[in-house]
Amino acid sequence: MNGLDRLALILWMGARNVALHKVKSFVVGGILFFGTLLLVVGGSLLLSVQDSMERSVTSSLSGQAQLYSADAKDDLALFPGGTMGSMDIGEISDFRGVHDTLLAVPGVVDVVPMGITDAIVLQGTELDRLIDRLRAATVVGDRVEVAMLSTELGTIAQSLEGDIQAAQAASADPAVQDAEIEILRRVGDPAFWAGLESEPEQALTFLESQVAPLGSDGKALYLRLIGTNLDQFEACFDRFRVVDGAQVPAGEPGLLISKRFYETQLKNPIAQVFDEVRQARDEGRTIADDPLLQEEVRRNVQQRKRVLFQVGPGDVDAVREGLMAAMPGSSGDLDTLLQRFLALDDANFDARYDTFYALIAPRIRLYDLPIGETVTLRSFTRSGYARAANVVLHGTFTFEGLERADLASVNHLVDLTTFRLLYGSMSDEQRAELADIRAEAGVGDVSRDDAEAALFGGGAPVVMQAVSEPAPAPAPAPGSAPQPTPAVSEAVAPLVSEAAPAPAPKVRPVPAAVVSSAEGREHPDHTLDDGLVLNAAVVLDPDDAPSLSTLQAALDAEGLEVQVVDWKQAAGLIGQLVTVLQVVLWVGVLVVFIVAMAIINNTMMMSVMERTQEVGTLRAIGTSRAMVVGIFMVETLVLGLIAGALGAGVGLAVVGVLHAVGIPAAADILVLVFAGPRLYPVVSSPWVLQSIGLVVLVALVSALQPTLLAARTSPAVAMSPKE
Amino acid sequence: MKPIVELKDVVKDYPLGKVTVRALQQVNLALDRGEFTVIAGPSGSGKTTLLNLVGGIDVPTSGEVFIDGRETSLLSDGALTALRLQKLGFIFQSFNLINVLDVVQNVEFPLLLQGGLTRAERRARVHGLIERVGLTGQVRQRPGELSGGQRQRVAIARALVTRPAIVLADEPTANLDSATGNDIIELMREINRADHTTFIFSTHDPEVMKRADRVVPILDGRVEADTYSRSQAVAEER
Repeated sequence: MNGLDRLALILWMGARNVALHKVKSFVVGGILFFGTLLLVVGGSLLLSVQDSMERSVTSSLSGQAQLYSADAKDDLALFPGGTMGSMDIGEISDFRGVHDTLLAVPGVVDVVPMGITDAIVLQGTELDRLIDRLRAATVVGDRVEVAMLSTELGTIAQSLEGDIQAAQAASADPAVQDAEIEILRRVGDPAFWAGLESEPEQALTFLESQVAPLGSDGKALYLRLIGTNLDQFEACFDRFRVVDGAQVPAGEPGLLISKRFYETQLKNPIAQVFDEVRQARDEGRTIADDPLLQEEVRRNVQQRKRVLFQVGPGDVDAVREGLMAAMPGSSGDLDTLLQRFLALDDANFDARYDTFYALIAPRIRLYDLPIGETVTLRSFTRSGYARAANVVLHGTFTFEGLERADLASVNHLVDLTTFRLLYGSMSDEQRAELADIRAEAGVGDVSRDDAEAALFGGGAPVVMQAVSEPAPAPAPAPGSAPQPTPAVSEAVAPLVSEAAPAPAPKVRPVPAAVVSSAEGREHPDHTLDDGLVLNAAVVLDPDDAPSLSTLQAALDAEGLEVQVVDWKQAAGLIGQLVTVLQVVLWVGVLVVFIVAMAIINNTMMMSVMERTQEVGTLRAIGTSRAMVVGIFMVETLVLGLIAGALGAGVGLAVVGVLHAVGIPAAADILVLVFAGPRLYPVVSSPWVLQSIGLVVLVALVSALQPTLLAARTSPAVAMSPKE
Repeated sequence: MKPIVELKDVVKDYPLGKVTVRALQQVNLALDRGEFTVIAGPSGSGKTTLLNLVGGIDVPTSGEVFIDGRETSLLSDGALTALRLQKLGFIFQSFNLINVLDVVQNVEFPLLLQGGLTRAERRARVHGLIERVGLTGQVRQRPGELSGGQRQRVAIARALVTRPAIVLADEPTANLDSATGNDIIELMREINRADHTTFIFSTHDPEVMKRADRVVPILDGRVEADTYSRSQAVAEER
């Protein structure tokens, strides 16, 4: 009873003292208030970002955990940051074993095999395509087509001549440009086209070998491919959506390109400007007010050739008429009309946008890689061998909520079998072929231990071996089914033969070298699990997720040399962002707290010194030191609780407002971080309580020293001033 | 009867900057139970120092101070604090009430520190004392709302609430006008007579000295010959 009454009295004194010592309470309370506010709001933002990023990353690509070889040279990074350059994450040697082991762990929903490799797609130029069509027309004798194409090629040659002359002014060796101009002038000469009729092969060869290379450079597209079991992928990652085209049919090789990449990298640049201006205008900007948009429009007029050259001879009149109808009173050739048409302003934009997509877009190659077209993916294996695979681009995909995130669109999806081919695993056929080549070349197998003897001791011609040995000959699991392969154009060829693919190769199927057996593409499901896999996503039941250490232990128990990493680590740079934000918040909090502790300490010290008479009296009438400490601590506690509760209340209100309004993702990277265009932060009640607790703790710690000092006050100070 | 407070050859030094000031020199003094004693002397004579030693607030540099038979310099800070709580009551020159507590809470405070009584017992004792010092109408007021005389009455009630063996009063009338001061002294005198509580004052007020049983004059840290006051003489004559 007494203890309770005593406690009640001390609490009462604390509360009263908080009210009485207004300056101290205001200063200390204010700091504690802002500390709690910072913790609640900052913590809520951090937790929300972590949550949304986790959703972004785990439900799009990584799963809750990723697996890869325990002795990988590099860290796995699903979303690469900045540097291009392939990482070496080793291989999961026994994916079937890993798969089966983990599925036996309760809470593991699925294990999705993956592999990451870079591939290049070389694209031809407009000139290439026109020359291709000319050859085709010449072969079948389509005179009308030939006439139209020759006119067009003549125009392009003229236009290129202008470009080259401009370049010549800045050239170190004008003779080079002189030679090029000479070639282009021949195309402008009617005698050349007469020659096409008499000696078609000679003229066509001239066009292909001499003229085509002068066209603006063909693009080499770098694609970062994630090879996976696409059906399983779609089933496991609920944010995955096919946008254009369709999912790759089960068991077939195929490519899906990320929608954002498709729109920003592969779309006709003129169309892109239309899209961009439209989006800007939807966001409330206008061409008149925005210098960036004006610049875009100006550049667009200049690069009108990107449309001009693509309009086929048969479409020129239709486009001209359409443009003249859209711009009453205009006339002239297509170039003049386009120049006028592309001079966009706020008044004409909407109409011209519609005209562009209705009239022009269907008549040009709107995307560099149209959906449904076969694409030749080229890659170099780790040992430097060139590989290529022809796959159909089935469609584009996106991850819901991450449509605008550039970083989420760097990865493209390809079937596992194509990946294996590009990465460098060999089919049985290829292995057999390699054995033949070796036999022909007289190369024998030399183990590392014997190498020295073989090189220097024996006379066998083993010197070649170092070059021709394809290093990562991944041995398939013993007894595995034969590995079917998709179209193969170059089987095993030394690097040098493919290193300089000039002139720009044609993008079309390469029939001769391609092994495309329909039945070979159908693989029963289990063969996918038996082949080469670099990494794998582990999808866990959110309600019953086992810890990563449980997974690791299960794998270790089976002797599988695989490491388990969480999504944050697996995501690469973007995953570290959460850690960075965490560090920023905690450093901020730490700085605020250190400053707060210094100020609180100082203020408390002043307060204690002001109150020595009071403390002396308490001591004189028999209050123990511990009790004095208790009285001051309770006072600080009361103040901390009041200020903390107020700060948390205001913090909750701030988070509430942010939740209602949403924080817009100002930069592209934030779309991924926010898992959508806006972040709607939420707050967890344990965190609010922890924040108040932390703030009160900081207050108590900073008040401790002045309080202990107060407790040492001599009771004599209560008596009349010393004589 | 054994004296309630006894000082034997007490010396007290204070450091003052780099020099040491001797506040008390070879003081020998015995105070009996139930006495109403005044320690009288001018400012700087050492009377507050003497009172601090008698009240267990301070311990001597050398010599011995016995309070109710216990030598203070042998006690720890905790034990000394407990001794003050159990055996002593304090009345200060500036009243020294706890500003945030009302009259009842101020008076009750030492009882809560002591513990041991039920809420009802505490209540009875606190209200009895408040009535005795004449503050029944002000029980819920806080010190800031009271006059100087009223505050000192609260202090007297607080000093008495634990039924101490000794009440120390450090110039209790110095901050009061003479009429109020007289009332306060009269109140203490009454309590002394009724309960035989030992009162020890420090003062340089001649009016207060007149009411004392015994006046211990102190000058330059030395206690002059034990002089009993007129009132004591009167009492002895009776």
